[in-house]
Amino acid sequence: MATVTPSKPAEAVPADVADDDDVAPRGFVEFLRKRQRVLLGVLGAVIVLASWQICSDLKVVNPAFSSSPWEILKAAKDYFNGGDGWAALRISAIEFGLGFVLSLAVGLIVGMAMGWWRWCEFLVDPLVNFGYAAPRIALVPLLVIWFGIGTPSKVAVVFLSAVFPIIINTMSGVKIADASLVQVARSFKASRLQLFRTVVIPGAVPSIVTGIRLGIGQGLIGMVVGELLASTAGLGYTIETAGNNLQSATMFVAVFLVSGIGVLLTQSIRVVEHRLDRWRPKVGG
Amino acid sequence: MSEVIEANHRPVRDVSATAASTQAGPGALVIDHVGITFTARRDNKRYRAIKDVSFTVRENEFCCVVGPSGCGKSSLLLAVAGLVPASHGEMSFDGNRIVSPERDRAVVFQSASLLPWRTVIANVSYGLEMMKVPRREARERSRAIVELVGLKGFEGHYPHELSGGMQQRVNLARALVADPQLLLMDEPFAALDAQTREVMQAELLRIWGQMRKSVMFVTHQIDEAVFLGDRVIVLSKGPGTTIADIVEVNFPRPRSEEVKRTPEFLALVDRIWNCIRSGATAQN
Repeated sequence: MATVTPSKPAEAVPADVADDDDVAPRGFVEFLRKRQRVLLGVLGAVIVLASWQICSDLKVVNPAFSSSPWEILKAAKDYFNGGDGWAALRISAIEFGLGFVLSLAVGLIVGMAMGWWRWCEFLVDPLVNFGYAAPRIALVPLLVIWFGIGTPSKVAVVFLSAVFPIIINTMSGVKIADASLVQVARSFKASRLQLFRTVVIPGAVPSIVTGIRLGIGQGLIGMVVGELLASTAGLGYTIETAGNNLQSATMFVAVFLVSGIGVLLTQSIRVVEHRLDRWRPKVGG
Repeated sequence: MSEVIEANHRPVRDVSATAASTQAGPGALVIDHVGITFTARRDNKRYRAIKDVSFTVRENEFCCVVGPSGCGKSSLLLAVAGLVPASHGEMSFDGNRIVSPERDRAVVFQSASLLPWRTVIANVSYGLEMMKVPRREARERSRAIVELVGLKGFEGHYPHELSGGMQQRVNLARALVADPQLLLMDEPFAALDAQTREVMQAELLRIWGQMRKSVMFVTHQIDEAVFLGDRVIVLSKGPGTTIADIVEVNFPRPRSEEVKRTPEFLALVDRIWNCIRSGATAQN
């Protein structure tokens, strides 16, 4: 048994265990180095916001058009205290949530079916390619005619925007199932359902997560553009009306809210992905 | 493996019940005039891997199959596993015709082919899970097998955290856990370095000594076959592979590394070498 030394990852020794007062400066550098990703990220944002504020205060740019971080903060306060901020957020969240859940359900099922059955791929692939290539946002006027100007038409836009990336990535994830692992499952007399559950799906997770992440981005764009083009409420509607009334600060509030939601959702997907990917060897740092 | 045969020409032998299987006794693997052809994806032509091979693996026998690369020995093993269909001839194990994978046969695959998202213990219990063995019982049996193959303490590791030799131990444990009667090993040590390979050979003999199962062990390493096997089936060069020689190996067990330096051992290795090198197309 000479060879049973595994390439076991070295146990990470907590760096601050040996931190005595006399090594504090070193410990502080270490503290900064470990958090440099977050610290530098914040620093970059602060520099941009500060320059914006200064340019606005010194009238380098016209504050009426460009607003400033401070103006935006004040507008945000008004937007949520007495303004229609919460209502807009709620409407947009409902539209995006419904549309996205729908596209997730349809996208996963259709994608898996296409990846698993060749005839299904042949049947649906041309339609999916057509739908993916089509400028779906351009269908908004039509969707408004079908579903009305309220929430249902936005749900439809979000659905159409998000569903194709999910279908396509799920399909390719299922198709790349490792042939040798499929053979292992067959040698143990795995049923088709067991094979699917234990080999195909776990192998497809990275692709599926990629599809979901793309779907979130596309869905948010669909939501905003749908509201911009035809709506009576929501964050996109705020952007539209504030823009028309030259309330650039309020407009920026809504824009930042949309970006913030996008970042938040993408990050939470990353957390889920990280949990599902614990088994994967870490490449690089 | 490039002898093209016509698509329609498939010699079919109508064997209702193999006479040979009843003669060979229970627990025996009978391979009776088996041929394997397959359709190549790239040109849709049929190629013949195995032309006509017949032999028997007796109960509790350690039977090695050697042959030059490309002779179709892995295809033959996969056919016995029921994963690849034989185009003609009959195969039976323990009196039952082989048509699909069954739980009396388990495969140790060439590349370890572990599920990368499962820990060692979860990989080992995979077969039991497919059999719907209750979870707790499956874990207990898997734990015992993991210990048998010398991986105690590594139950929670993922495959990428293990060395090649350890991965093959998991591969072996996964095949053993459901207690099959016949172990089909497809060049399991081919990808290992020389030292690890020797350790694994000795380990395999130790484990086999404790479990007593029939083994069909495919390899292209002649000394490995002679060291491990009770008998060595020598296949001829492909295409159209047949049996070139069958060599009885009578070294006493348990065997140690020293056997490999005896003149008798070297003589057997030489005999098989010459048989393969002469491009032996001898009809068996």
